Amino acid sequence: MLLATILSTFLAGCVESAETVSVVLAVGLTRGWRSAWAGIAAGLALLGALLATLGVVIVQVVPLRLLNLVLGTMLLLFGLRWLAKATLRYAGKVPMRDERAAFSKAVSSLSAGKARRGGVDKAGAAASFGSVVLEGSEVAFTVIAFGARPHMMPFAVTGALAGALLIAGLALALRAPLVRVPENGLKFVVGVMLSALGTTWTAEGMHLNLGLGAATYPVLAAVYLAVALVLIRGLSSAARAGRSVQEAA
Amino acid sequence: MMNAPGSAESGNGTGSRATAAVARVASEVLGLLVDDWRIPGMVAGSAVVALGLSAAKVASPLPGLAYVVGVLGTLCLVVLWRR
Repeated sequence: MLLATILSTFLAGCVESAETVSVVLAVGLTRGWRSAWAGIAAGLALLGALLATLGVVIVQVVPLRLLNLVLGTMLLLFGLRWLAKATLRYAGKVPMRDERAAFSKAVSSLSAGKARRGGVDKAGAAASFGSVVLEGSEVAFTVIAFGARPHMMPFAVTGALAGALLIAGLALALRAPLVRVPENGLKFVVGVMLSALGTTWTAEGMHLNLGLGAATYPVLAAVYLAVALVLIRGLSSAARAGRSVQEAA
Repeated sequence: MMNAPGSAESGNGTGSRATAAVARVASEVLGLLVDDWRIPGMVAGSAVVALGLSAAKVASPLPGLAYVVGVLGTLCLVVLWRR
């Protein structure tokens, strides 16, 4: 449980941070770093408040027997969403996330107007704030889900912060989007982990016995991985066959 | 999805753009868990079927396995539906 908590939140922090820094860098380079930092600070404050309130409320208010169901549902919905998106990307049905393209798009969008000199540019700060909150809220929900287990909150927060700071620190030091971060692969792995854990916890919360005992989580993770790989292989083969037919015609 | 700062650089233009950005973030954050209605819908359906089997005293672990199959089916349907 400890390893799953740290690894899941660390990887979630890495993935979402890689997406956020592309926008924050674009803001910093086009509208000024003061605006970028103002947006980051406001976004982190909101996420901190979310963790401190919603996280505490869930642990304090939700009865223990419902905790597995509530947290498992959160993880399952996130996990399935991430895994479906990653599967479609690897099958070639949805374009892979490209941080260089995301950065270029943000730069051209933000360069359209003049930045305010000597102060905080509202449009730039809003873009930075929006990116931090939007991507960070997925990490915050993951942290709440893992951290709500007994004694796990410090590990969940540390894992997410370590991942986010590692990626953000690298990007800010290089002043460039991190195109080499295997973001799509990380999203696939985190999707498998969250889906398997979410299924395990919701089943426990509903008192459904899967007959697997302590092996439930690893077995479900292996099953999710296998199903996703079969889907990728099947969709890729179908796409290749379709192209062959078109070329032949 | 990001709005270009564009011409609204001063006064109400920038303020309303910032307000719109905050409103968009708030609505997207709220929609994170139900971004695709098919996922919560099918997961809930799987849970109802499993709990129904459990209430009907169907022998364990069949209700649990029915739930897992339903959740895995959700993943397959969502992926195949979007292709």
